[in-house]
Amino acid sequence: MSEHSPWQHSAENLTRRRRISKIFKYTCISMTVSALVLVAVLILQVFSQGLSPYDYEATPFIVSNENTFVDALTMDQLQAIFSAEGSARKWSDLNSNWPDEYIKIYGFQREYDENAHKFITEKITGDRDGSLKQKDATYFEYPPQVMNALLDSPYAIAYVDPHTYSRNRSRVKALSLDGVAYTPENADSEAYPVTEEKFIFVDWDFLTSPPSSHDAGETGVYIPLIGTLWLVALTALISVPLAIGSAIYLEEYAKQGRISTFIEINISNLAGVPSIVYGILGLAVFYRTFGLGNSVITGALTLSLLILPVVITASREAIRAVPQSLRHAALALGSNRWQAIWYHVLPSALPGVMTGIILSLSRAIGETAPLIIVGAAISVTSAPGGPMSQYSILPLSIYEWSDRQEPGFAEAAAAAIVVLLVVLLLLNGIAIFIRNRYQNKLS
Amino acid sequence: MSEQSASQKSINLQRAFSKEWRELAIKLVLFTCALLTIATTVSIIYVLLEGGLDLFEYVTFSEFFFGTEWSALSEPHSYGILPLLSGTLMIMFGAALIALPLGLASAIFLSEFATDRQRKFIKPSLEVLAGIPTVVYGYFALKFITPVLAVVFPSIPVFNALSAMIVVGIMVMPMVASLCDDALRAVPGSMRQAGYAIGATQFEVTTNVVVPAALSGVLASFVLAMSRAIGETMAVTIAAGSTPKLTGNPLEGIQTMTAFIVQAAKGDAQHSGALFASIFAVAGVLFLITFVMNVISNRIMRRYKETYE
Repeated sequence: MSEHSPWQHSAENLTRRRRISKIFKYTCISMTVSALVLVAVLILQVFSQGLSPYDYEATPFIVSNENTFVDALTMDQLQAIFSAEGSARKWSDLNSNWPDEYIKIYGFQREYDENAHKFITEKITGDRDGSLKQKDATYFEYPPQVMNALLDSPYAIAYVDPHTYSRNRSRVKALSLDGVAYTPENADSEAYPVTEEKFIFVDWDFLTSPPSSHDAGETGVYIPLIGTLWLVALTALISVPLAIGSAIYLEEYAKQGRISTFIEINISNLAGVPSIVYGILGLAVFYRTFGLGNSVITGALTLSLLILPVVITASREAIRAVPQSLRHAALALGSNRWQAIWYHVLPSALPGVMTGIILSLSRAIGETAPLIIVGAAISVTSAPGGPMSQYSILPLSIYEWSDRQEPGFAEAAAAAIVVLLVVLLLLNGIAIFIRNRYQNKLS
Repeated sequence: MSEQSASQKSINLQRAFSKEWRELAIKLVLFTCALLTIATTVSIIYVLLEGGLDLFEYVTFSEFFFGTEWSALSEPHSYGILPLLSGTLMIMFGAALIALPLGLASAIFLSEFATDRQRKFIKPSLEVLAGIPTVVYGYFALKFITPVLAVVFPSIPVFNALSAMIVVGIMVMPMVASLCDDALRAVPGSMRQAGYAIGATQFEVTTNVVVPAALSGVLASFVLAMSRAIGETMAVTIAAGSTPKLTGNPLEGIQTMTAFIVQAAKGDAQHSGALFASIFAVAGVLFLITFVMNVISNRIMRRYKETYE
């Protein structure tokens, strides 16, 4: 023993050993801290995605090709033309060499997109709530109408959205403003004066718009969010009675024997089965054999089987924590076994059971793979109205959008992650609240 | 008089009888609930076998298990699972390389060095990390880890195994930490005291006494973490790509078994024969591997529980 002993008594040796011990301690600490910091950085990255613009959109000011005299304007001239206080009514008011013709002004003002109009107003008048010229001016609902009106007259000037401009670029010319030409490079560098920074962050619009497959700026999480809520509600409805039932059986009725040991081992093994395998099970059983198709109920049944092992284990622990004296008291007063369980054991165990259930449900919310397999789809065009509706889910939006190359979808995915994390946080908060209240009651 | 008592008796008997019946019925219902978990296992095995065996109408056993080419979604079809298996195992080893040391170190810190206040802060943080959905980790890998890797390895493709390994490692690390912490804390304090009493330093007590005493728990958590890494789906689907390749190079794009299942199920695999069967066959192999690992882990865990209770 003594010859193998790693600690021999010598002063020099002791300092060395102490040093090793210290190094070891700080290694452990630094590894723990670095792991936590790393994940904190990742999460901060997600939250900071909304802080920088994902794209720049420049608004072109155009005249028709038949207009031969104007190629460039200054911002002052633009204000003179468009602003309500602007003094220019004829082209000659701006430049004496230009024809003595009235300026016809066109623009668009979409009702569903107030911001675009407000942005242009702000750029021209310097005031977001300022007003544009109404006399001599016509504002259409849609940019293509603007284009049609503009092409009628060489003395007209208009602003349209970049998309409409690029489709008609052979027929109109975009003016340089303050000497800066309307080009994509100038837009991206914000050199072009009327350039808007586009952001995506979680706001009311994002929560209430349906997902868009082509424009990240208009995309939202309404349909997937409602789908996720439906799914969680149905999963809870299905899994809670089953889990509590089996937990009661295993804790209160089952005799210690082969069957209950077998069930226990089986449950702990099931808890380790990859979630995607449950997806396959759901596909074969609920989707095909039961013929439920790609409906919310298929997803909910699949998720219920998935979280059942965890919920059963949590419920069992809660039931086991109920003091034996409570059961004895009930039985002594003449109640039978079920009455003792129903009126005494379950109510006391309920907070613990609830906590376990909510925590498992928050796992279910994040599940993606099994639901892709049983048919949740990003392309669903309306929020589910019942258990048999098709549905989409939040994590699926994150998955689909993170793969997209178009600008803005990475930011949209980050915003969806934020929504998902907030939902999770809410659920966990409820669980903690219940746990704390329960603990206070006991003490 | 006696008649009355007789009828009373029969009523009581009847009540007792119906009560008995009710109890029995309740017990039966509850038992059915408990049986549901067994039914789940049985139907998983049945479904995977029934669906998976269909594949062998199209390919032979040896083609499936030893074939080095997996091309289920494009012509010419071939169904050799080795590329998917190697992709999965590569992710598993890479993730283990990160998660096991980090997780064990955190657990040692938590159980041996941390003050109660530090513990109160770190343990819940780890639990929160364990609760972050895997699809979010996939996003991390694709948008933040890959760009950082691209600085170090300029030729790395957008979809690569390395970023998936790192992110799966980070993902299973909290689980390793939490389980190892439980195992280390189950080691009786008296064993530590004995170590200190004969003059050992904290390092020596930890590595020579505490960790060996908790070894079965630690190992069980390792096995469980690796099984989790194998079954992990969304992070690797997003980050590792969709090119099944028999390679040992983590700087390439690969495909894991789970990622293939998602890719195939997302498309219109519902009705076409061989592709549909291949989903079940791959899932069957996946299930088998994780099941064996879970059984091993549970066995180890049970043994360690017996030692100190």
